[in-house]
Amino acid sequence: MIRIARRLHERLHLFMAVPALLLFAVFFVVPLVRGINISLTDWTGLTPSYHYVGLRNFAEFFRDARAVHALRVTLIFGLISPLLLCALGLLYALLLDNRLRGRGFVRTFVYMPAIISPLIMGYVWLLLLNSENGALLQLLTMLHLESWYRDWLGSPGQALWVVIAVNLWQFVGYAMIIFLAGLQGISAEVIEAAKIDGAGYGKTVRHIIVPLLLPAIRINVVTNLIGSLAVFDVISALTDGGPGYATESMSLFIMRTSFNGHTGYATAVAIVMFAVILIPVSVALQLMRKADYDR
Amino acid sequence: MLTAGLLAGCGGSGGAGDGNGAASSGSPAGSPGSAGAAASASASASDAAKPVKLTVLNGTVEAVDWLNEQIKAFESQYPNITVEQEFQKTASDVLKVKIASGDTPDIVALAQVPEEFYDQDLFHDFSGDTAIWDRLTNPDIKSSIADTNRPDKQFYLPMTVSYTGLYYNKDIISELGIQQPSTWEQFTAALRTVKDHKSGVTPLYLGGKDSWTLGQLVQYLPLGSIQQALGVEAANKAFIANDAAKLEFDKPGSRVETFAKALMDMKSAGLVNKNGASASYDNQLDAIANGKAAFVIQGMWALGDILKKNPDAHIGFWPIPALMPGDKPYMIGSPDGAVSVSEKSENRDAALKFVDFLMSPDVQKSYSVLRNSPSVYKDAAADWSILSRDIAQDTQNAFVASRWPWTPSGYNSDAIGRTVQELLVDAYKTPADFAKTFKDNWDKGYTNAAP
Repeated sequence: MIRIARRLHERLHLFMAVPALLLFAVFFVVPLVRGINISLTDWTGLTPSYHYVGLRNFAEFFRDARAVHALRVTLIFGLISPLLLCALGLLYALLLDNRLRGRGFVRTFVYMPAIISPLIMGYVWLLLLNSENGALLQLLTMLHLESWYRDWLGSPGQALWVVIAVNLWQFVGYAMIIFLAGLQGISAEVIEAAKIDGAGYGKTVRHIIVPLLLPAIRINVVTNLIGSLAVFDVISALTDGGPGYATESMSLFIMRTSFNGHTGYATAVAIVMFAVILIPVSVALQLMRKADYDR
Repeated sequence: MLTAGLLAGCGGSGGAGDGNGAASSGSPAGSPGSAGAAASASASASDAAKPVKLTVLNGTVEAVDWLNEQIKAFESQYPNITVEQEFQKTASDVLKVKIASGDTPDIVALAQVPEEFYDQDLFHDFSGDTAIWDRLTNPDIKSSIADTNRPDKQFYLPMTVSYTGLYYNKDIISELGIQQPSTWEQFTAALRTVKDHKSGVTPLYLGGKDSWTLGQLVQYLPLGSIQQALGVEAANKAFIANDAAKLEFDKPGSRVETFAKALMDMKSAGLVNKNGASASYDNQLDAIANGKAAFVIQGMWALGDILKKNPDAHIGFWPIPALMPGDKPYMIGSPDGAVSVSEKSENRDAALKFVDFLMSPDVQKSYSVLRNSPSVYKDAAADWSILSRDIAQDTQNAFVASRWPWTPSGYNSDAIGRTVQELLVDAYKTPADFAKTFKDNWDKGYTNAAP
């Protein structure tokens, strides 16, 4: 009896995981399993009945030019945005880690957009860039420079870059804060020792600071990859996926396809999107783990 | 994955006969007598005292305040019933999620309820409610809102007749001596006159960022022309059956191809705004209200907002010039302001009471004025719009479609509009390319076909 009680006591921490596991099962595993089930059907989302169609929805994805384009948009946005966010966030962090006058104000100013909803931020930028009466056009008109204005949001080749720029502007502060926290953890003695050994600022950053910031880089890369590959709100507000389908991401495609009576197909695309997010995130984690070992 | 999860979470269980989406539920569809009578008959004295909470899903932003006023008036008459309005910009999509998750609103004030929900008898059938149909200004309205698959059933009550057409700025038009254009050539000539003589004024303003505005152009022009050729009801059947031989979407020189060519020509001639794919509906209304555009193609629902932007706007309304030779100028004059009641609602009787209140003459008069559209009810005639005289005249000269041209659920006006956006940003080399893409998307849009 005592032995059983002792064993139970030793394994008490396992029982403490039960509530979390239950929540995980209810809100992740069950929807996932049902999602996989629906992805194998022709369910319209409008009627209770459906038929199993095997892997037809997955095969259809690769034949569907609009879906493949949405995948391309997602990959361009999802791979370029994290790179830019990390690079610019690191630059800001290195700059604002120095003892500069007003650095607290600048840090707050750079970080502030990150606490606002991307949807709201998208609408704010839409008002700024509107081709009819946007603030930018009005400013240029006031300066007699209206010929400089371009309808970027109405151009299929440029609209996605505007979305990437707005996303970068909004979340660079978030990346910066994570890098700043990482920089606080680097001992001043290490930097001092590098200086004594004759390393200039560039070499110190490259060989000392960046390797020591690997955990911060990992957090930034992974969170930004996941967020960027699942992008929805900023595109929805700024371009609504347009003009045409030029900036339609996979998440926007899934929502529209689902509401247009092809829920089975949309769910199959959602499963594909899961893989699209999982693969780059796993590769990034693997590469950074390897970098950790090498170090 | 979150999306997949959400989709799965929202999805009703599969197979037939599940939960709210079930077609096999035992409650009978439809009830004879007026909505109020049906409600009164089944409501017992004890029920009258029982507190009831009704939910209304509203998809018309202009009607939010008006509906709140009616709710207040109704609640003062029925203290045991409270009504909660939920406005959603994308109410049609929200309704799909609500029904799939078993949270159907008691009342739905929305024109675009998917046909599939009517087919499952999820909504109350008003066809036997003779008292209300006897009040119609035109008895044909009843058949024009009949269910597509079961013409003896009416699953919603209309409130007004909404017209769509060509708004014009009277000052510009009279200054340039432009006469009402009936054909596309006359219309193009009128637009050229504006371009040549009024610098800074856009001849025809498009608000294509809100893609439904462009999708509706396709409905008015090539699809409207099919309605003229086949007749409204026969065209509706051809659209629903995707009768390719009658629709001829990708035939060389088809109506869709002619539409694409017309838009391409207008764009290259500078007769429409350069930013037609990125300017918004709001920009469009602003342009016509403030004399920055000579013409816009819109429905009567836009008039209230135009006048809000400029109460002194000098606006006129003509039918849309005919796209195809031999056609008449075109207007849609179809019942609008649809109100449905959930058949499976526990509060169905109270919901019918509320709908009965909404359909009362005084309430309908105020709705008619709010929407700048004539009421469908004889006893709710009101001085509904500054354009009422224009419309009375227009309807004499135009082909007036009593139904909107039907589109597949997977290729609605919003999605069609995105194809037109592509046309405006030069994604198609020829009108035939546009027609081919349109036909492909149309075919894929049917829910019973592979996407």
